[in-house]
Amino acid sequence: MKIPKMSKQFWSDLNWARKHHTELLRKYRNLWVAVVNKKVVGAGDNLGKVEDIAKAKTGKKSIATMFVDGGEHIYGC
Amino acid sequence: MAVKLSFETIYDPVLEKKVKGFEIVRLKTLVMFKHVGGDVEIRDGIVDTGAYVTLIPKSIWKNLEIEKITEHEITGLSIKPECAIPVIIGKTCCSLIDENGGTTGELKFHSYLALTDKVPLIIGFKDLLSKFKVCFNYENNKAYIEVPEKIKRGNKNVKK
Repeated sequence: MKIPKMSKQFWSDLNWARKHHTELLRKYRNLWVAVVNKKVVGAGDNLGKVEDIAKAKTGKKSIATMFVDGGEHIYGC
Repeated sequence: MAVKLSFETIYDPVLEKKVKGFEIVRLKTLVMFKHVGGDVEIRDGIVDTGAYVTLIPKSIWKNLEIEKITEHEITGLSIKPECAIPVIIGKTCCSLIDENGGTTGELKFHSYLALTDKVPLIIGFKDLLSKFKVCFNYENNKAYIEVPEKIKRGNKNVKK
């Protein structure tokens, strides 16, 4: 599996989301966010729908997404 | 070969009201998945050294080639049945990668396939973290996975 060449914007948006996790927590706790141009363009608990909304809004194929984890997710078996 | 990991330092607004400066640290990786149709996607994942098995949200695994094994339920801190998350135990493939081209190569691994998206992508030990030397030093902001030669060689022959 070769690493695809992603746009600079994809990396920049993903890094932006990671860096702004604290701010995103206030509004999007335990939700998925889609980020384009350092702005949240979709949010919700269904990742597929969030991506579809973001793609429809921006026309972009590859969109940075992140789960805005509040630290509660610990799973056992 | 090493795959760089990243730290995220989060200040939870709920906790901040109770304890000032109570930081939460997460270790993150990039995960590359290949769809059945050939498309490749890159996802943000949590590296969880406390997780036995990797957990994949539904919208991510539904596009992948999956070998389903059985149904199961997982719980977190609370073991109440109503807090359980139904999952399928299955096998799929991914690569852990970084922005600079570092990669573990393709790995086939057991995972919990969540029947919901209300969970993050969590990278756990079974068949993934257990294969590598995982190094992290938060104070120095350095974290990486070392990929041994034998795994790199073995990846060329991953059976699907």
